[in-house]
Amino acid sequence: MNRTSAARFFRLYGMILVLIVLVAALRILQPRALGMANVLNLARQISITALVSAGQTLVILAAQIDLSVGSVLGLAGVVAAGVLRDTDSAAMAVAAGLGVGAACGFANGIVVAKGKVASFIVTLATLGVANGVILLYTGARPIAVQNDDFMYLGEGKWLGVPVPIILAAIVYVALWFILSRTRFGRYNYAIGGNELATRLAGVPVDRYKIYIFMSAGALAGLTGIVLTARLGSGVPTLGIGFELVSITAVVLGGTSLFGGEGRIWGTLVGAAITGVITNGLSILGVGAYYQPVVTGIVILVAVLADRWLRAT
Amino acid sequence: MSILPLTISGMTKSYGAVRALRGVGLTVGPGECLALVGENGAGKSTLMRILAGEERPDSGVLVFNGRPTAVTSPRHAQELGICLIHQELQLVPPLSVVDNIFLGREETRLGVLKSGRQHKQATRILEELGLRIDVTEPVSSLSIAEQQLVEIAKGLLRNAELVIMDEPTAALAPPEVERLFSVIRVLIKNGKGVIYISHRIDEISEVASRVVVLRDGSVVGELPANVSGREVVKLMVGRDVGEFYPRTRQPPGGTALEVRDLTAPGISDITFDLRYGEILGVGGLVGAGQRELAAAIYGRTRPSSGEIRIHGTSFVSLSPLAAIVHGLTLVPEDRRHEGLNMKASIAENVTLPVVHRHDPWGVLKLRDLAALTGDLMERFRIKANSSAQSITELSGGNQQKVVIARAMITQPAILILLEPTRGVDVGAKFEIYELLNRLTHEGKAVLMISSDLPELLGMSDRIVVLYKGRIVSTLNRAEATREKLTVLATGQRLDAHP
Repeated sequence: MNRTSAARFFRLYGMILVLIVLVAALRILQPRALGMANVLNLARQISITALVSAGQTLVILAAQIDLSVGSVLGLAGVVAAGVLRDTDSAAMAVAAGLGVGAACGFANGIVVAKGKVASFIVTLATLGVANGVILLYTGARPIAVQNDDFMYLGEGKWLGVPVPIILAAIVYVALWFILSRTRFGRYNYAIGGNELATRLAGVPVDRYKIYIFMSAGALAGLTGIVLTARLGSGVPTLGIGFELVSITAVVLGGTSLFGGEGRIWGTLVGAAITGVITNGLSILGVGAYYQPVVTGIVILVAVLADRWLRAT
Repeated sequence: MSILPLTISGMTKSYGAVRALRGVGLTVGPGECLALVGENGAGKSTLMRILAGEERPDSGVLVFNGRPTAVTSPRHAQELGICLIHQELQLVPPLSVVDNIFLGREETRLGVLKSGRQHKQATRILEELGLRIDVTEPVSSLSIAEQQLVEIAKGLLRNAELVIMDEPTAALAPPEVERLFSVIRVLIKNGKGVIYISHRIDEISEVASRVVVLRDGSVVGELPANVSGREVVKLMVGRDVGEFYPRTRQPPGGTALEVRDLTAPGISDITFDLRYGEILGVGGLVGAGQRELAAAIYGRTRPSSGEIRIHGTSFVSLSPLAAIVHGLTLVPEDRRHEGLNMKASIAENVTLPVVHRHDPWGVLKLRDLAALTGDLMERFRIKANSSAQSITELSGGNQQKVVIARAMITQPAILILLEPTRGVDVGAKFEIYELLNRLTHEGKAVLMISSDLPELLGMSDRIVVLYKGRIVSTLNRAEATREKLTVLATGQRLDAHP
């Protein structure tokens, strides 16, 4: 293997190697970590991160950022729980959660595209507003969920596989197809690669930016629904921290923060890395207060290693 | 102690399998301006980057005034007295002129800037270069030409002995070019050495005493600067290109585009007709409203009054999308910033405006798009391995052809070209001219905005000259000359200069 093809290999598969190393390390330090029960648990945890990060990937590919996904996720969760309490209809609850997510995304998109405000600021505002609305809606108290159909989305299994994993798989296959084989995907990459050139080529950039933020919002909504179903309760603090987790997964997955470059399955690997680290630290009995410190350092090392490998 | 004369010999440099330099040698002495020409990829930039310490050669010797020396870093180059003026200027736009000039070598006492001293020194150096400005103004408020002088001043403050200029005139208007030339003459008079890189062959004899021609990483000739442009081009390209402007004219057809009393940001009362089969050139100083005119027609800005008629259909204002739908397309000026997605492939760039026509059931027909790109690559002679190749791997000339090919993919009847050959080497320039010829023969109407005077004169059928956002004159091909264009572009009247 010569230097350029080695660099190419690492660019494509570097983070997969990191993941393999992490899993191997975990296996050596704690052989029981890869038992069936924990693997399923881990996969479910990863699938949640993967779902919310999928939307973030679209946004970052378009050279934007969405800081509101966590709060939107939380809002969608409590609204779904609230609708369920009032109507006892799982379908209505799901529709409400997805609707809230898409509506927040639409609001982000329209202000970014038409108002020409940086997405960092717009979504920061949405983060604040959504957090406030969550507290107003719930009075800062959880909303209990008692509906088996709804709970199935978080707790259920289909052919032995937990439903969140199936949902994440469907979303990733669909997004892979959309990004590589549809007009939406082409425009998404083009906007991130050079927005001005794309606009001058006659692409309705504003409209597609709105679609992109709506997709991210709807996926955050879906994640909120799944998490709420899993916990059996609409928790007001549900979404806290997910904006950073999702951005981390996207960046670990090799998507450029400057937009235009990246792959959706990279984000899946990124989500898996963050999941394995968090899960591994718990299993190894690292104290809760140390976990974010170790997570931060591991992520930094992974990204530095990636950068170094690419440069050679 | 001076570093001049500087002698380079046996310089080689390879990037992987690509041999950028194959044993290049040249000399530049004090008080001398050496012109360095060659097509893109001939090795000019690599050679200059080695001199400026941005690259290390594989082998070869640099001899500064008899002492062999290796330039180890850009900082080392500065200390030696080498100043490289990049085509993309290395200034910090929001900072003031004086802060830019002193950036990295501020004069301080206990960490506090000696503002008064810096101010005086900056003003003095700029005055030597013939620029009288308030040095506390931000650099962003200066024209490109003035910014270039600031860059030179920056080098002089660092006691530069050798000034290397990479295509300094690409973005300058004729009077600004003149001013730059007089600055170069001042540098020469003060015993500095200058290496002048340009694609504009006709300029060279004005300042340089010798021309070194590079081709494929080797020096293929060293000529006196008063040699004919055609000789130089022949050496650069390796063959005789014949008439450099291959324009074959024909009687134009009906009216394609009518612009009436158009007033928009940066332009006032613009009226002209563009006919099918015609190239209408737009000239003037940089910033005279050319860019704004294109922006207003293409719907990037909103006209406040006036009318645009495309083949008889009247519009108050358009958008890029509406313009394309009605058969008018723009080839933007700056291909890296406005033209191309540098992170995508050729096919992804070329087909962007038409992907919506190739996705039945929402699924892109990738094979069709690749075939379409392949056809265009052949028609526009884009040299690449495949349509999936990354755009960054192409030469500037081929990238420019991609931008033009993309504009043509929507089959427009009217084409607005901004600086169609900026930063493009001679061979590719010629091919682009031939392409324009072919397009007009097919009946397309072309509005060509260019600051390259010979190109404007050589390719246009008629030329409108802008001054401060207004049309001051429309010249027919037969009556247009370099002198007339320069006089008109500077806002003077023709009768004052018989």
